[in-house]
Amino acid sequence: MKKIERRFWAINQYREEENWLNDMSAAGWQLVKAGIMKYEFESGPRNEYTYRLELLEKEASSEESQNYINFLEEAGIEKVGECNNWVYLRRKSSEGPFEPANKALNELTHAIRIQSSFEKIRANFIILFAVVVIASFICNFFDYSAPWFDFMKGFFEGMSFALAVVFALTSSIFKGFRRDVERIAREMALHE
Amino acid sequence: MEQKQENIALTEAVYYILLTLREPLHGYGIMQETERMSSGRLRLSAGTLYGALSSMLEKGWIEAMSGEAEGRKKEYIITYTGEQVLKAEFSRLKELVANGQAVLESK
Repeated sequence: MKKIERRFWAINQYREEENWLNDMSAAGWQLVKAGIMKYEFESGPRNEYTYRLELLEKEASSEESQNYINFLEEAGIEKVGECNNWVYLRRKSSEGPFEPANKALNELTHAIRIQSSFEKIRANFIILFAVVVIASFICNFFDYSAPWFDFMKGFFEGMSFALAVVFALTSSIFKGFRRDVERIAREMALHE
Repeated sequence: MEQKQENIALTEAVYYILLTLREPLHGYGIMQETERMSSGRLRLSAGTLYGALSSMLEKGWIEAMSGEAEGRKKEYIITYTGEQVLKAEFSRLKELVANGQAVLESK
């Protein structure tokens, strides 16, 4: 029996996403395919597989990532889906626990990778923000009125406002990542 | 970038990987051997192992054996530099144990 679920998750919720997949597995639904917001499950024995999400350094289709995925396959870990740099992995639960030996290091790697991909997006936003702010400033500089000109002015102003809001909202997520990294770093000073 | 490698403590994973690679082994073999040596205590994850192997290849502590047949799993072996690093770590660990004994087990 098959079942399709649609679901959205934000980049900082990957652990919740992982838990959800493992809860599904516990309920007898095994993820067999995953893409952007779309999940395909097949019914199977409860807890047959343990699932994990991993953020790769490069896109899953790149050669480096492919080498890594092949390596995982040799160790009995199967890739069931991908979404940008994220891969959905699973391992038969009967083969032992499926978790990183060095949990802190693994978490730190993830936090740093998430942060750097996030930073790239934010850098693009800053450029866009600067462009619309300058554009709306230039528009206000001219004492001119025409429907198309007013529309353009309004558009730039609206965009500046919208981007400022996006920026403010993402700031707190960004701070959360920073706190994560610092917490893990402190822990790593005590434990391996 | 090059630090004096001898003075830096290895992670447990790296120490065991180097120990197991005195004989050629492929990835999964390293995981099994590490688990056996540590009586099941240390379970390397494939991700940790992959990262460690890549870094150690880069540093020249281990090398990949040229695979004969197509599709064969890649096997690794320790290099001379790797041996030196492993021995240095072994001395460091002995020092830790000796000092622990001197303090904790003295009457």
